[in-house]
Amino acid sequence: MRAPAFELDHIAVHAGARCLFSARQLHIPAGSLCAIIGPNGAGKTTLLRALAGFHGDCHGHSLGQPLRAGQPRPLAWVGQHEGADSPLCVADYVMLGRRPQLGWLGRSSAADQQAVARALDSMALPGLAGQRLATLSGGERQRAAIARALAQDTPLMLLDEPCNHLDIRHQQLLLRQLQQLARQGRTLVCVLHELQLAANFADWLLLVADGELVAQGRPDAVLHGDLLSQVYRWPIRAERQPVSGRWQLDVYGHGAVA
Amino acid sequence: MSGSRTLAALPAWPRLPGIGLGLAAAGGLALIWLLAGFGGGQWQAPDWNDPIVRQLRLPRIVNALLVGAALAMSGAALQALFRNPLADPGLIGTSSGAALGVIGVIALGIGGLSVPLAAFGGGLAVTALILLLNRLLQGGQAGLLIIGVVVGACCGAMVSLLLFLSDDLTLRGAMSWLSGSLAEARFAEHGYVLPVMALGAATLLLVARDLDCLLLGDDTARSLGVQVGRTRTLTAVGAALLAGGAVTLSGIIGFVGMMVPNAIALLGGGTRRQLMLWSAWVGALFLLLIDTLGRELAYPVDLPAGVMAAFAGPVFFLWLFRRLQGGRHARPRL
Repeated sequence: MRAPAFELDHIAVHAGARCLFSARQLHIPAGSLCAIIGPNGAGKTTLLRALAGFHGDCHGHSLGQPLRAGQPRPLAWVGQHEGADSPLCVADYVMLGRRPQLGWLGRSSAADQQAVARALDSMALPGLAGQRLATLSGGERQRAAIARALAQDTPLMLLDEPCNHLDIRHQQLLLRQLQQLARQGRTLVCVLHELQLAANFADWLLLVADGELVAQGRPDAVLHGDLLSQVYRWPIRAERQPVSGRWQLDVYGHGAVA
Repeated sequence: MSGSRTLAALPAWPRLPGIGLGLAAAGGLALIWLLAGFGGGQWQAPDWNDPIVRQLRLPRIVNALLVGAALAMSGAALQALFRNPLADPGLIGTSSGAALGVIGVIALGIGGLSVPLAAFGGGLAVTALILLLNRLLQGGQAGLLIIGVVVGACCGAMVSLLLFLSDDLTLRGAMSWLSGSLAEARFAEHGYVLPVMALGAATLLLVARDLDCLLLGDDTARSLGVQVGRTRTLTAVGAALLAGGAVTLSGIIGFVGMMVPNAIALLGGGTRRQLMLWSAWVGALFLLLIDTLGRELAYPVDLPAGVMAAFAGPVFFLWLFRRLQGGRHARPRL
């Protein structure tokens, strides 16, 4: 049995005396597509950055290894709007994912070139390898960012709002690709705003509100209308379609939940 | 598509710059030869044995090439460091510190070699002060930018005060230095400055890939193993060594460090290392071109290169503005 991607006893992020996020017993299984959901300002990105080790304190294990502050974690990070102003072409950009493997002179080996080619292939980008990053559409650039993270060849990938500014088609395509990567054995943790997308694509959910972890588990365990209504302070109905098995989340009524 | 087939499609990028590099080198050398022939308001094929060419024109050409390359290369690095296409060596205090140092020694009535030394020392001291303050305040990239602007403004105020209190003779000497002229430096001074510039260039080339990562954001850079704080410090130090060497040779020449890397990024793009090297070559030729124009346009008046660069600045800004309005395909890239 594989060790969980994250098995944390305690996680806390402070800004001076103010607590931005704290939680106990956080679990993310390996090989899953995990979505962090919650209302605006709930602490989703704060939690994701803490998992990446960029701030805060995490006590516990990641992939069977104890987490230590200041020690680099074997993960790839995909930020928001990455590369929008970069003068790089797609191939050079994806090659940045190989930086940890390159020597101090930065020369790439045949293995690095192969890793870049594989990453471009898996994100269906070979035709754009020579194109400037800044000239790509939002969807293409997001795929290039994931290819860059894939070239890093790490078991964990953390993505901050990967569906932001993507249309419906590109959201669906991107999340299918993330699902496929999870099926290949990687663990992907991403912040998602769209509950419907999170419900239908993620196989593990972390629901956060007011800087705390409210619920975690498979969608069945987290997606309850009462709980979501309380967290989002708006009436939400969550139902799983009996035939298709797809989740349907709707808002109803005209008033905020107290 | 298989990985190996994709790989076969990739090397389109390494081959093309090889041809471009050859063309740029040949074109550049031809331009240097052509510009070396201008003198006394007319052109004739340069005679390298002529003492005027060897002792006056050649050092000035080398001066223009070194200063242009240093300013443009440091600008290319700083634009990545600040993620801002308007960044240039002035933002890390090198120019303002050098100006303060030079005006200080001129006001004290000290001349000779102390002027370039004061320029170099002043530039590096103010850059070091900015880095130190940023470290103490843990300001990150935004802090470095703000502290750079604030300290630069303070230096500017002190320069103004010194100029206000100076007599006419001091004022004249200071103004000629502040205008940025390439006519003064000789081969002996190049000998002192070249190792410093080489050290700055080597530092920047070593951190170039980390700057590519830094442009993607601090978090992404960290996840790629970049030590963000160390990269920022090394970039500022490398850029300060280059710009400090440049102000030592020529006084203050603005705009070159901002214009050239932007033009290269817009026209060619590429990795930060490629942008730095191309910027250095084009910056060198650009400064030589405008210095030659300054020598010949109003002959026998020798217009300083700093003034010529300042005239070229607004034209460039108009071009940049038009490109900005041209849609996302024409956005300036850092």
